[in-house]
Amino acid sequence: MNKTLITYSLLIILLVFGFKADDDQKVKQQRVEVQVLDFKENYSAGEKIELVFKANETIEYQLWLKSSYGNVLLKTESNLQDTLLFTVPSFLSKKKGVIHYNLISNQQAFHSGSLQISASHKKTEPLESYLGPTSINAGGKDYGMLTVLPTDEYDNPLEDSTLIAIEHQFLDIETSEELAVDDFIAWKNIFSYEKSGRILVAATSKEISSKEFTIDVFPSQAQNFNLDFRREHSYADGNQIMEFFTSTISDKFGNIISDGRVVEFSIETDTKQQLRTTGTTINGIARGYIVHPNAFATWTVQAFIPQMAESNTIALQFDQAVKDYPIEFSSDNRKVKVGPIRSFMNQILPDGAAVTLYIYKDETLLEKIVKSSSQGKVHFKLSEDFFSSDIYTIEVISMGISKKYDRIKLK
Amino acid sequence: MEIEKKTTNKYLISALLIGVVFHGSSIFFTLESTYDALIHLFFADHYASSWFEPWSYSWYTGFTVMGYPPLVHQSIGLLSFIGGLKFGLFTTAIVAVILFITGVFKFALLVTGRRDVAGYAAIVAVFSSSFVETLHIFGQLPSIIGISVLMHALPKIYLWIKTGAYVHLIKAFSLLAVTVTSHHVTPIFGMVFFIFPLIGMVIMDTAKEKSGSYKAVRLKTFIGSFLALLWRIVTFGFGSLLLIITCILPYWINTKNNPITQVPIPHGSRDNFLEVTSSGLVFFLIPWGIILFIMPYLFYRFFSKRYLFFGLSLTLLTILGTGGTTPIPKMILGDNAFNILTLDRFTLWASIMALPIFGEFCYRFVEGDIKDTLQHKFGSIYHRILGGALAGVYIFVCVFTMSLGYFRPSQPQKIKMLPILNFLKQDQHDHWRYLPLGFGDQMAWLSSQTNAMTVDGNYHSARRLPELTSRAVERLENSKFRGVEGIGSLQQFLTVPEKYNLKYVFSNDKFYDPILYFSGWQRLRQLENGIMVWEKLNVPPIPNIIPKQDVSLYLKLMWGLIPMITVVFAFVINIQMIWVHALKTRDHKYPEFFNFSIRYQNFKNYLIKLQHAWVVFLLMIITFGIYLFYIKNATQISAQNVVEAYYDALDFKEFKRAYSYIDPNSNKKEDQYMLEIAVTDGLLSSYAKMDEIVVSILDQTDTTARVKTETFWITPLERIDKVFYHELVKRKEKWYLKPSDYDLDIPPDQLFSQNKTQYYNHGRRKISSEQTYHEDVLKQPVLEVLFANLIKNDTTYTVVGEIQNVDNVPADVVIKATLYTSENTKLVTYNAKDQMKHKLMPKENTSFRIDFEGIAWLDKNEQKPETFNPDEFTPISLADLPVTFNLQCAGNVATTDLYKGLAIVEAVIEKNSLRGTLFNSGVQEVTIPQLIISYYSKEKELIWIDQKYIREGIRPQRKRFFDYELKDLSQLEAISSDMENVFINGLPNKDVAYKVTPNRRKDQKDYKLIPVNGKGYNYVKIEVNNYIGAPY
Repeated sequence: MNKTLITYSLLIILLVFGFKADDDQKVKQQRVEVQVLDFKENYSAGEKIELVFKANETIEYQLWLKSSYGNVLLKTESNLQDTLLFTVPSFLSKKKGVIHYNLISNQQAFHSGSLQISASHKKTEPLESYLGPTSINAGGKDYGMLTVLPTDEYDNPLEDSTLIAIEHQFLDIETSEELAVDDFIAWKNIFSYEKSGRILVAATSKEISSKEFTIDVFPSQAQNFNLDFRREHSYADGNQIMEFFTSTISDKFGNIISDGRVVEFSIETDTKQQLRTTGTTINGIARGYIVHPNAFATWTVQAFIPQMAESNTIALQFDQAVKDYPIEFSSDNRKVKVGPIRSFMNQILPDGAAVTLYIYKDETLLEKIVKSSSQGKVHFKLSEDFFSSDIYTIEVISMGISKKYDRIKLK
Repeated sequence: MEIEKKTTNKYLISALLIGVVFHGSSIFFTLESTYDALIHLFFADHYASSWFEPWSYSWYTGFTVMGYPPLVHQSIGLLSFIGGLKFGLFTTAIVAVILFITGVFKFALLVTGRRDVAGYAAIVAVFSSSFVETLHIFGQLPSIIGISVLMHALPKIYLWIKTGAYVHLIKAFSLLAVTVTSHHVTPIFGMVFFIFPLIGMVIMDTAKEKSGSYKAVRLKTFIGSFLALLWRIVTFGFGSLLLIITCILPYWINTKNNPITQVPIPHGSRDNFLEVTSSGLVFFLIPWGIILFIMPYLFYRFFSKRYLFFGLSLTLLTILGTGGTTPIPKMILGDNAFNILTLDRFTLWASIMALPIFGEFCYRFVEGDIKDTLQHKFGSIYHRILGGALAGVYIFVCVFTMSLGYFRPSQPQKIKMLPILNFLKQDQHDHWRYLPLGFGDQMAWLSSQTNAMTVDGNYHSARRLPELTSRAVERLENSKFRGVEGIGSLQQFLTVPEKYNLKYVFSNDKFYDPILYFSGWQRLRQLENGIMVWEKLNVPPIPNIIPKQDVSLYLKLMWGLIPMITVVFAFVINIQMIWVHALKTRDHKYPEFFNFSIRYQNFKNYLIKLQHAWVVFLLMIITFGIYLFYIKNATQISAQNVVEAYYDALDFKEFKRAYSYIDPNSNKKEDQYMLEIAVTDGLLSSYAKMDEIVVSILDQTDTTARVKTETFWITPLERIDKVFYHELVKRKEKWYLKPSDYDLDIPPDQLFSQNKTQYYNHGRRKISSEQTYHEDVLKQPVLEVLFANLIKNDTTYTVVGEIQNVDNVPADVVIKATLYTSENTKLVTYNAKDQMKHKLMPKENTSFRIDFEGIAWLDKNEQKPETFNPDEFTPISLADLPVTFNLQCAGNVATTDLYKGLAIVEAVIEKNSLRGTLFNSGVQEVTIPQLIISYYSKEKELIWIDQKYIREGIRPQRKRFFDYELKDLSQLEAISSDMENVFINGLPNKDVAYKVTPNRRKDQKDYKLIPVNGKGYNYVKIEVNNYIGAPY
């Protein structure tokens, strides 16, 4: 309780004495007369602003400026005793907005008023503008937005209802639209056309222009297309490479789809295998390559752009390239010579054809040996380390031809 | 003072001259490629640029340099203001050489009390193999300076205890303070191993004075003398304790605040030297060097009564220095200290402690009683031969040690840093962290030259990130040498790089390239010094304000000022006194310990015999060792050896050597062999390091054999095991391998052409240091998640899904998943690693799987795997059950790694295995093909993703067979496929889908799904991805 009491009494004492001191000065200064000399109330940004007052009392005056940037106290610059000259600093005179001023001396205000600063007539070039997104799809639904913030040379936004012309060019279309600045900005959505290509966009305001902006209009979703193929021959030689290719793929507006889109060529074989090769489009055509099978096969092929477009289905058939090949066993049956394997014109099959040898013992597979052919031949050696002397079943499979030999005795 | 006698000690002067010339000129060729020197240089650079700020942001996302006593670093830093950092380093090294030689001189003087013997000790110290190794191979400057200054302090300590004159105490303290500020371990262990025996010797000397001779000293007199000197000993003890604490107080406070909780890092000095012979060589044979031959003399002298305590200390040091060879060091030190300390320092101290006695031996051998005895017994020729042999072995060991770094470099080739520094400076690249790979200790030199920061570092005690401290990973940079832990740590950093603002990797080792690629990184360019720069998209720059652990101002001031003050103080007190004394012409008394020197006469006969027996024994062991080495390494002496040698040659890419093991009678020509090797590429032949090889002989006759070779290879992606069978043949007493088959396939086209779309991104179109212009910033490609599913697999959680690039440009895809509980509490976040294609062409799809990886072995009790497995996965332990998930997918325009040439030309499912063939239909050579297998439920919902790397590469127009075992997924449980919280480039996935792909053909045929009757699934899908080692 005691402490509070002391605090309050101290506060009261302080207040009383404080006001008393002030009172004295007030009485003294009320006689001062201030006259506003010649100055206007509206300026444009960047203009030099000098405020001149005339006072009948020669005491120390200060000009207190309040703006959105903060408060500033100015001292008089005049040498004449009764004329008071103040220059508003450039960092304030360059900013658009209102400046309130008070002429004060010893915390006493004598005159107050306000100045209005509008944007400068000098504009900055290029016009501040933003565009995005810069790539859109054709078809008239997708758009890019241009936003313009016209400013003067001091970066003050121009007043509302300033007219901005937003222009864009696409193929042989050149259009312009005038928009009024609203809340400092003007903006426009530029919609794509049906054609793909490039839209150039710009904005102008009172001879001041923006940079050139670019919207790339890409073709939209692909339409279904046709599939075709090319191959050197129809034999399943496991060596030649065939090509699938699409028709020129376009979207529903007739634009050829952009380069690099993935097309997957899906192949279903007669043995229900799912094979696949991939291509990417160039000028709307995608090409996929795949090696011929090594045995008779029927393929059903369809091409897809995943969940977007697909082709017709085509069927193709591969004929057996190798009709038959000889197999020779050595006297102890441990050396198996396969070949020569001859292809459809009786030529030696190109090197690298896989020849697989299976060895069974009582129906269970013991070993599978894969070798590739050289000069049409393959030699297998059944080592005693792995196959003790006994009776085995040997099967050789190559180029879709299977040959099985039961009851082969390895010596 | 003992140095400035009336005559100059010519031995000491020559030792100093030879030492400075020899070491001073050779450090320019050795020091920079040592293990530690560049680390000290990095610290020095830190002090040179911010002397009073202990926090360094350069390494480990920030660490404090208060973890290492600063004196040596600060000295280099100070000197760097004169002539640059390296000038500082070399100058400090030369000072260390001088300090070491004078230190040994003083120590020997103290121990033997004879200036001529001390002179000999100083000369042998110059070429001491342990010193040469510590300086020229290890580069441990602080350690050398610490022990040298300690040796300078020893005589003062002796004199204080002996005489009680305070001037000696002050001098001792001043030198001890310098020791403390240069190296923290030296004074602590030095107390035990050097000062305690010294105190024992003083007491013994005092007791001798009382009793008249050492022989007469009994336990009672000894205790009596001890009690008489107790007060001085206690004064010194407490004083030095105070010094150790106060001089580096910030160090102790830091140690207390950041205790070393990390998993110990393996160090060669803890190996069993008989098993790991390279460690035995480096940490036992080399440091001991020639002293091994005079062990009997050494212990005989040290176990004489006066040196008894030194003898005990030497014994202990010797035993501790044997590391893991015997279990004794572990028993003495305890598990903890054994795993933290590097035990090589004990051998270093032991060999230094032996130097005075070795000097004494040399003195007696060259001009003392050993010479007389030998000449008397065996004649002077024998003595000369012996002397020559001794000198020869001594020089050989020294030269051998010096050349070790040349013949077996511990560091990669010197890297030119300038291109890297320029790269980091350009275009604000230093606003991200970088990671060097395969730089060795040169990474410290890179760090000291750039302001850019790295997540890695080279002072492992200061590591802070649990990803690093929980594993025995010294540096990420050399993680391939740390097996599963190394690669595991590295993978975490590469998978979630945005967590560390890590954007650039400088790779000096192509071993790491596949893991970088499959984690979603892309090659930027090769710098002119051959370093490949890898970059990761979608990583934010380092924030302007990054956290640091601040310490109080007084600690900073102590740290910055005390070390230099101790040097100045010690300098003024000790060196200045010499000059003051030198100016005065008065004669000085010899210091007290001169009274205890002995006269060398009548060298014991039995000792000569013992010494001879010992040398013969040693020589026998050495011969046996060399024989074993030969048998093990003679490549063609047995079938087993030739196979091992063959794979060793392949492993090190020494194909000419590998060919030399091929049967010369086979028709395989060397050119043909080289060609076959040259065309094989892939994970196994280009990115694998052999880990283990087991050769078992199936069948052998005198001249032929069949072997089965099981090989295990470490690759950055997984551990590979592969079995090869070989036939061998013996010709002219040498075994050879018969050549194996190779790929015979002949593609149909000699020359063919294909068209391909290529992309180029300008980056900044205007050369400007300003922020990239708004119109130069590319739009992020739009992606769309087609499906996502939170899966519970046993106890781990996984998010699987499928994503499509629906934009018109190629995209680099980063997918981040977060799991939430039912209360929407965030549990864990992780990125998709290698179970997806990171680069997608327009409209391309990929499946993805996100595992939530924890930090391995955070729990110390967890059992660590013994063997290596880079594919090791540690699931994170979650506090609660996840119920929902959030996916943040980001696309960025990609222009590289867009090869799509792989085709599936065979895919057969039989039982649980998928067998097939890939065909490379394009024009680039695929180095590592990858299969991504997706599993679908009956309702065609994606439930699991798996992947497999194919070990061999595929050249254009060629095929490669693959085998894949289908998984058992009956345990899987789908928890949520709610796609509400899926975002693409920050926008909701469903909005993107609505706007970009309103006409999605969901009814399209599921052409990729292969029906299968699997355990827990009904369909599988095969996708292929590929890494191209040399794209063009």
